[in-house]
Amino acid sequence: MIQSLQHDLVQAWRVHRASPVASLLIILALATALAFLASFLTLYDTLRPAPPKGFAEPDQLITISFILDGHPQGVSRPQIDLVQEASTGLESAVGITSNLVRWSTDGRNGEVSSEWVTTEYFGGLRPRVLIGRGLEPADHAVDATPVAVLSHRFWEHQFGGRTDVVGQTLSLEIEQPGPAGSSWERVGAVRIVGVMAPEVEASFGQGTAMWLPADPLVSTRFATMGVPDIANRIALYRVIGRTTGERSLDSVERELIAGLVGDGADAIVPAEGRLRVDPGFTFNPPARDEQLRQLQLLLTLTLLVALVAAINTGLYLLARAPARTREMAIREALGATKLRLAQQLCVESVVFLLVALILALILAAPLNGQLRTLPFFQNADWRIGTILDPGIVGILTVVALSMAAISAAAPIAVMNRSGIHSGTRKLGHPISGFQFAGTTLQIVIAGVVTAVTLGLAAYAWELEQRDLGYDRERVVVIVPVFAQSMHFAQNSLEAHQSRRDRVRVALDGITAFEEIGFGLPVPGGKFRITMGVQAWSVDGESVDVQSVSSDIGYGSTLGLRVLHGAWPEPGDPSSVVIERRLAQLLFGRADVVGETFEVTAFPGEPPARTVSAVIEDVVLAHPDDDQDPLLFVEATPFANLDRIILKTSLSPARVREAIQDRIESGALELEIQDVYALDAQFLRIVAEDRARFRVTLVAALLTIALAAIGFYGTQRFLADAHRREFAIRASIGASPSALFRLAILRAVRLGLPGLVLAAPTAWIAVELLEPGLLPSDQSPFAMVGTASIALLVVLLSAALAPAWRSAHAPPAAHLKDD
Amino acid sequence: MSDSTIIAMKSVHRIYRTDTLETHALAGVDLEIRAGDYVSIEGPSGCGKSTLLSVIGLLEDFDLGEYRLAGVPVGEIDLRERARLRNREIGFVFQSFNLIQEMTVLENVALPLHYRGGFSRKQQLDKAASLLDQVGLQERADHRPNQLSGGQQQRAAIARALIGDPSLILADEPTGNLDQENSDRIMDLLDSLVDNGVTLLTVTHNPDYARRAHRRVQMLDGRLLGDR
Ligand SMILES: Nc1ncnc2c1ncn2[C@@H]1O[C@H](COP(=O)(O)OP(=O)(O)OP(=O)(O)O)[C@@H](O)[C@H]1O
Ligand SMILES: [Mg+2]
Repeated sequence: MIQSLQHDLVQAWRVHRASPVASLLIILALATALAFLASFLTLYDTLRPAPPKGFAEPDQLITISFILDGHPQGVSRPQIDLVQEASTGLESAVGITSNLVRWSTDGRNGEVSSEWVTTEYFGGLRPRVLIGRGLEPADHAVDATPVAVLSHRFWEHQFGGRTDVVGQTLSLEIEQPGPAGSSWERVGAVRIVGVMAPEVEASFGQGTAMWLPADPLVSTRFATMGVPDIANRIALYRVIGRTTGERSLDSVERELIAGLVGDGADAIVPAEGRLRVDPGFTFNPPARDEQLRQLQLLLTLTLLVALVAAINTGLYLLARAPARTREMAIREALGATKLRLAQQLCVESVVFLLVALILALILAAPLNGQLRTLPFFQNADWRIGTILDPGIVGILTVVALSMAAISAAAPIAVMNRSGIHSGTRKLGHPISGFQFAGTTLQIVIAGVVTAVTLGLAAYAWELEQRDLGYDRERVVVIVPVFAQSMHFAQNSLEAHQSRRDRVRVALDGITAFEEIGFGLPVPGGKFRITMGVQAWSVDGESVDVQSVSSDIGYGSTLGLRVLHGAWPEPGDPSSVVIERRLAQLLFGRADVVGETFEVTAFPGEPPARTVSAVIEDVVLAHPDDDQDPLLFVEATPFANLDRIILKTSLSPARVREAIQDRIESGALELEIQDVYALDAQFLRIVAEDRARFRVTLVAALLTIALAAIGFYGTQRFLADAHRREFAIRASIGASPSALFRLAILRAVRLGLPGLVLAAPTAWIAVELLEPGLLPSDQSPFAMVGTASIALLVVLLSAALAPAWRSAHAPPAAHLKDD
Repeated sequence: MSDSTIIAMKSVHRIYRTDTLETHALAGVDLEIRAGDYVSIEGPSGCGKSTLLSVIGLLEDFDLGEYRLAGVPVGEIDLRERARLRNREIGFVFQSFNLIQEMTVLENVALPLHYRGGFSRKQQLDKAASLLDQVGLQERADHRPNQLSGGQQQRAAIARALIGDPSLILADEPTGNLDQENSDRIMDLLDSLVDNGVTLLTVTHNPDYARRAHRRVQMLDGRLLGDR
């Protein structure tokens, strides 16, 4: 047995060595597919909900999220207790907030992230503590001696894993927002009471250095804000917890929704919000769902590529079949059984897959790191995971073995039909079932992936062409931090005006700045739309709008298109500019200059506003996101965060230099937080769409290339198998061009079923993906049609060389008896 | 070289090169054959008979020398013109029949007309049927080649060689795969062609059949030794 396997291995090596380039290509294709598969599986595994490690009964641990406008919201300290009381299926509810802290001890120091947890964290969730103890209820009292539990990693790095760390103290500082910006405030000597077990990770995100009691620290953090009882009012916390384990998550969720969503006294989110319970700890469940969906798509894509690659290996092994048939027949004549021959062929394809698998595992680790940087995985909450996870290696091995089975099935089937008994007089082998099915399947898959890629390409292109209502060429945005901007006393309209004037004057001498504007939010800014929403009513109906702080330069710098009226002069808070769609919504027409309406105003603002201008609709964020209609006012209460917008040909770096100069000369008093070009920013907004296109493009090119190589191999096989027939035709006077046409015609006939099947399959795929990924106004007809034509061209090209060779082969050699 | 010369070869060489070996399959062949001749070529195995027929039949290039087929300098014409000559002027009969298995006997016979062009499908098949009639295979028209005996297959191959009314028939051991009775029948059939004005060139190992030819040429080591 061992001996025969050894013989087979040696034989396999010889066979692969005989055509090293082709073998290498096949192995690379298989390895690429498997490496992507390994990476995506690992990403999936480190992203999917899973019981946190290091906790007692981890299956009972959950995250409770309150979601508004698709984003999870923080809850306040008393609301955590409301959650606890809202369901009998809940054993404990814990609030968590992550913060940077500065630590120092014995001359060492650093800035690390820490988890601030409420009372129930250690008692209720029961993480394993390696040495010392966890936090106890007494530690959470506002006036308790400060204590900390260190993470295993921090302990190992900073304390060398010494057990006498318990009882030592750290000096700790936390960030404190104040009227003059934030400052670092000493908490004092914090006593280390324990070290967490190594498997316990941060509840969210990539790591934490220590766990601290939240209540005393939060009180300290906001002590200087001057808002009474702020520690209980500020919505800082995410909620995790433990169920009793006696009821399903669904029933716990229903009970929580009944108590906490809607208009009830204890409601935490309004009726339009959502509450969801997820197993394990997840910072942002809706985003995680979306990321998992992306991963599922990518996994599907990779499996398709893997399938195509496996078929290719089979076609490749088959392409050499005419030559191999003779070898096998001789072996059989020498007494090898069919079973023995089958084993030989299996060993050959398993060798392919095995080499590919090893290569894939080597490639997977760096690939994994690369793939995490894809735009749609930004902010993903990866757990620590490895490719060498037994489960993943297991799945990969099963996939690789199936691929080996697929690729071995083909040659075995053909060998079986053409043993020693088959007549030597038979001309050529007609195409085998595997070749037909494999070729067809390859073409269908390539067609589907290509059509989807074209759809995504069309979408990405269309997004960039879309009229967003503003110019993004030659616009640079500066995110400034004005000294004392947090001071609410500074937030009067006069304060905003004088600040803008000061900047304007300071930048006046820079001729490269053609225009200057101020406002917030700006297109593509990270500033979330939700901030400025005001509900106001017309005819008893209330509409949500987003107010934009904006001076007259905002409109001209961004090239906003005024349809009616004119931008108001400074100093007139009751005059506003509205979008066309808002005018339509309010008055049923666009030309509404001079009309007046009421808004729910912030304190000190006029409730009645008069329309000074109507402008074309503006899209601030992603062109396909929903956006409330915009109301442009001179200053919102957030105008202290105004961005400076410049019309200039200078690059952001040059703009930064120019402004820095002014700051250093004392002409300007601000800090630059960020400078970016608006067109670059737009690309960041549509980065996910572009990345999706690029990833599928890679898959499409790969499947097309593989399908073309497979098709080429099959054409070579056919050319070999049919060379006697072609020689006969040539001997009776068929011209090279007639023979060429015949070979091409046969190639088309072989490819046609795949092309015909690919069209409806691609159509279905495009229709299925449309709701989430493809724009609905794209015609699947165009994508499917273009994909089919592209494939036809590629397949024909792949058939050209073998057909030409068949047509021009000297006939004499192939007319003899073999 | 008279007007009726159909094959005129002067010092034709054909050299096969493999990695290790150079074989002078034709080492300076001089041959002249007149229209209507019946020539048999004899010689030991490997002396170059098949190669000579392949070169004569334009299935294979020669490396040196001069060769005119029906006055056409073969060395100067392209692949397309060669195919045309094969189609119109030459009919092949091979030892291994070389019928296309995926086609019926009738279709096989009709194929040269397909490549000639200018014939409707019906004309092609009608003419093929009449040729099958001539070789006594009318009942077998719709069979596949592998449903026929060797002798029947060879008769079908002769019908195919004849369908284009060629002036030259090349037969390389046409009876090599057949028994005595079938062989006789095939040779009778070929003989009858000569009576109809066709030029016939055969290679045979059977002295009885060689004797039927008007002219017997001996070949050795790639050269013709002259008539016997
Ligand atoms: N394609 C080829 N490559 C290399 N050598 C060849 C090739 N075809 C023929 N030969 C060699 O050329 C020589 C002549 O071969 P050819 O087939 O013409 O002989 P033949 O006289 O027809 O023999 P037989 O009577 O056995 O059919 C032989 O030595 C043969 O080995
Ligand atoms: Mg011979």
